[in-house]
Amino acid sequence: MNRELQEKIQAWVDGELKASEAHRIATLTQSDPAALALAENLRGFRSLVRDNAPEHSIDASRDFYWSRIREGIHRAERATASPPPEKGHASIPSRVGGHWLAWLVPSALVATAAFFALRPGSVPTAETADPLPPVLVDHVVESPLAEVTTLTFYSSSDAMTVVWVGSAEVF
Amino acid sequence: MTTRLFALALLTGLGFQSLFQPTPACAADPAKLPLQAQLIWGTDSSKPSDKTLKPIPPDLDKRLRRVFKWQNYFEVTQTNFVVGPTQPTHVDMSRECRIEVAQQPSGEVEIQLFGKGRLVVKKRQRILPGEIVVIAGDDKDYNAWFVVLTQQKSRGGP
Repeated sequence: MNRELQEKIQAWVDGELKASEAHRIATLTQSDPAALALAENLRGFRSLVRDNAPEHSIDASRDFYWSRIREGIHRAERATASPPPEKGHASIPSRVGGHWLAWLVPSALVATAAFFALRPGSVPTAETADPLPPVLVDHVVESPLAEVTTLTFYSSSDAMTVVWVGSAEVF
Repeated sequence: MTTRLFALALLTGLGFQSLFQPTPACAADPAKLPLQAQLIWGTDSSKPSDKTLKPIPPDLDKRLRRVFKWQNYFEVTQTNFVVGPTQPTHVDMSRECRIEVAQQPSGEVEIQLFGKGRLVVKKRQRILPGEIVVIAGDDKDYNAWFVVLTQQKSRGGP
């Protein structure tokens, strides 16, 4: 079964084909066991996701929700844009008259940061580190078996990566 | 001159502190990753009397119930093991099911699941503390199997 046919079957399962094309795929699944198995697996995945995906509702209208996001972005942009220095006001080091102070302040900040970052116990270990978001680098799932289909998804609220394997005898 | 002396003292202090800082526990053997694998059976039926199945921990039960549709989850086997960088670790989950887990240079692990002697699926990803990886599928009579991989909570090894 080539990729084009697999996509046709997927589209058929999703109800996206025209009537004539849908009829052709339906006939094919009756005569081709591999096509039938793929269609059944896709239907299984569909119902699994549809029946079990959590629904999240927002206590606000769609427009209000997006306007709050837009406002938040604008507020963050305004905060990051530093105001230009006012004319007639000298910088703090020059007012104090100390070239020395210009070095002391950053050095003190570096020393404070280094103290808190490097003191014993502050280095995150496996026990102390917060659970991190998943790093699905590459996200590679392979199966050498033609009849096996896989579906991978991630539940962030449960910190769980799921690989659902269809048509496999494992247990 | 005062500034240079101050900067020199600061750098010297930081250098000494890093020298005497104790080594973190996880850095003792960073090449080895302690993992736990569980084979779990999901069903809508009650626990069969003829099988030696255990209830799964409540936290895992809650997480599985939120994602999957089955009402009951029972642990068939649980194995703690360590994965090193040199060769894959073989773990027999049941008579028919086994996994091979290998650590990659990138920090990811490669999980190979075998059923009835055949490689069924291969998955590569990083497993971070608190994260779980579930490889699962349908079983007969509307039941399901789950292979759950997670980092061991205690780092003392198997």
